Amino acid sequence: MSDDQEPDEEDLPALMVAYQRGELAAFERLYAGLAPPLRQYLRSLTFNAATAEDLLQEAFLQLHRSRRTYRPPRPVKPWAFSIARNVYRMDRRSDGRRRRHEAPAEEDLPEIPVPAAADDLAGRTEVRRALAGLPSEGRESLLLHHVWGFSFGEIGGLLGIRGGTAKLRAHRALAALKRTMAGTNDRE
Amino acid sequence: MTVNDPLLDKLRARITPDLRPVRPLRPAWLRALTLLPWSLLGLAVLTAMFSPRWGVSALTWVVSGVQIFVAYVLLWTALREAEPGGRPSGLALGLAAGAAFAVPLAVYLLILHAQPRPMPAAREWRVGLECLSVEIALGLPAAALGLWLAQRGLPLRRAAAGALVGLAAGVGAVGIWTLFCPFTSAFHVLTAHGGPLLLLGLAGLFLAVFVLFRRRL
Repeated sequence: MSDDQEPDEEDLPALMVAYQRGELAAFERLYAGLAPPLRQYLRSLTFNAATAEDLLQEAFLQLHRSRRTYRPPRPVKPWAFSIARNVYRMDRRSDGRRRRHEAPAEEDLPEIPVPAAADDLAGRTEVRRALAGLPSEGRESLLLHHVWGFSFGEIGGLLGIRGGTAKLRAHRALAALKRTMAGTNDRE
Repeated sequence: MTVNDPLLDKLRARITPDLRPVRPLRPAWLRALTLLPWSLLGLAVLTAMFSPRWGVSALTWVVSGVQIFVAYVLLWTALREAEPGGRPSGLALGLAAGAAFAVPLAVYLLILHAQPRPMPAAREWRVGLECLSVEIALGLPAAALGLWLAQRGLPLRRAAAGALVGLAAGVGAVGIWTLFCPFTSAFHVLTAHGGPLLLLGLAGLFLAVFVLFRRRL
């Protein structure tokens, strides 16, 4: 793997170990591997690209402060996503009373990822709009599994729920997404 | 991508001065074992302060050990809550908190059934205060140790983690003191033994939420 490429997922634990040893280069490689999915994840939580960018910075700072809590050779992504989610929740707690989550206007929809399972249902914009209308809990489990490839056990550990509950949420969200898309297609 | 990323530049500037090596935390089950030396130390101190009760029945030793084991499980659960990506489910947290009250209650009912010993009315308040103060004195260092261990991680549900640490200290203290207090009067058990358990749980919760686990983001 060369230094200007995103590291593979299997390389992340070794990079984390090097980062824990204090190597700045390892942090930079980790950033290259983690920033894109974390940015997408935070966008899917906040529905706001600018807020997601702010939270991404905070997430990496928190990740740095909490780097000792990573235990090799565990997968790095669930650990990093869990920290990013906590940053989002803390931000929402402090800010949420005055800036409640509202359904975003169509033109505000950020580039939230579209699960492959829903890719053939309609155009990406329609799927994004339908995703935005899903309950947040279901949408989160759906995206974590179908976009970022987490197992339901990992999603459970990340969200603090049972793996079975995560699976049920994702399944229901996908079914709701398909129903919405079917309705949209029928109208068209 | 990484070369001209302004966010990476900012992060690099913030992180570089604090890039000292760190050792990964040990697994939660291993860190929770610190409860064992605390239990032995507590037992030794109490034995030195009060008369040794080596003549207590095997049942008392067993239920004391069971309660200390439950305290260990509670602390382990709290420390897992402080591990990002490995958090226990809400159900597991609820079951652990329920066990913190259910197990001492079951132990009390068992001892009441097997070895009932009513409290002499004249000594009720004095003994009650003694049990209360000893259990709190025994539990506070354990709670402090547990909160420190949890604080080294990243407790995400701060209230739950703090309450579980406090309850672990409380159940452990009740478990050790079971060897020294033979009385089974319901009022005494509920106030002098249940009281410290509840107080330590609440203390853990408030310390976690308002003092210790507040993190700058």
